Amino acid sequence: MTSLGNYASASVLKCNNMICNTLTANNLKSIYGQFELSQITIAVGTFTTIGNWIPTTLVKGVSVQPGTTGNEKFYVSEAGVYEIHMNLWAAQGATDITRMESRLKLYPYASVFAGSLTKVGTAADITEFTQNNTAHIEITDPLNEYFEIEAKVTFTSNTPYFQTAYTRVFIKKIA
Amino acid sequence: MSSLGEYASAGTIKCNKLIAESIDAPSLNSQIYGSWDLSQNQPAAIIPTAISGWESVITPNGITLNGGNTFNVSQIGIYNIQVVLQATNISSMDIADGSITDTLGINYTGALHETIGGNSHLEDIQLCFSSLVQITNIATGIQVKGFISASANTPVWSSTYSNISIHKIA
Repeated sequence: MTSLGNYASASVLKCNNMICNTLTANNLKSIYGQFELSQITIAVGTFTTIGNWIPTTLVKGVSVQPGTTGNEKFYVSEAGVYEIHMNLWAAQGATDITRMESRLKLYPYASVFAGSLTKVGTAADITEFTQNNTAHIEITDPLNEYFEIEAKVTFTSNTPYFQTAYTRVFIKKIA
Repeated sequence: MSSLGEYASAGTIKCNKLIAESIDAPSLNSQIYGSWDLSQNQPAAIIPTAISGWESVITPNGITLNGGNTFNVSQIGIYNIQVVLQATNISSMDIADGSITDTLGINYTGALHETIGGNSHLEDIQLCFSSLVQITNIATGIQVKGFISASANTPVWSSTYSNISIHKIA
């Protein structure tokens, strides 16, 4: 490694154009993660945290930790601003889903940062659909702050669940 | 601030690996972002109308909200814009429509939910859509437009989950 000599200790260095094959900057680290469900997951009519998340191969600096319903607590390794996307595919055997609501909650504050609600007053022959949420959250204490995804689904009979094929969580540090 | 001495005047400095605690480079573009939700339910128009009443969820950086409905960015570039609109009515809605537009009148993308005959019993619906928008003049503002058609009652854009997130990516 070649240092910048006298300039290496300077707090600020400025140049107009710099080309690097590899750039490592603590404030611009790539932190990201994509998670999916390990199995179909039962949905109930009251807000319940979705567990059963497992990481895909696309994970760096993000983890999911166990809680009361399974692998449910998403932690990041660094403070910063994160962009979160959720795809939740709800399915019900043959009868109507009348309401589905999902949301992202940041703990330990239990603050709601994003969510979606679909509701029909009378059964409308909805048996499957996908709900999407997106959010920016700011993590200042990565050791103690984490987020979970909650959902509830109401229906006329049978047991709704979240399908594995399309249900995903995407996390990306953006600042 | 210290310069790179004789290297500062070079048109291009090249290295294989650079390690720094903090880098501020406009071309990396990762520091302009913001997220807003509605401070309260907003009455929905019956023709496409810019939705007002946004409030920041996190402290925005490099993006300002003007006139309650127009987002202006501080740098030209490409922005990833994601929108969730929650349309709500006591009884059924026939059409819920939302879109990402700019103050020049360009419509980038949107989402539409429409039923036939006004008997859908639909009381809440989410419209979730996203787009890349290239801003070549920072005077150009970004807006979210929407309208709802309902046979009765007063539909609104709900503050519970309606949200817009903007992030510069290039």
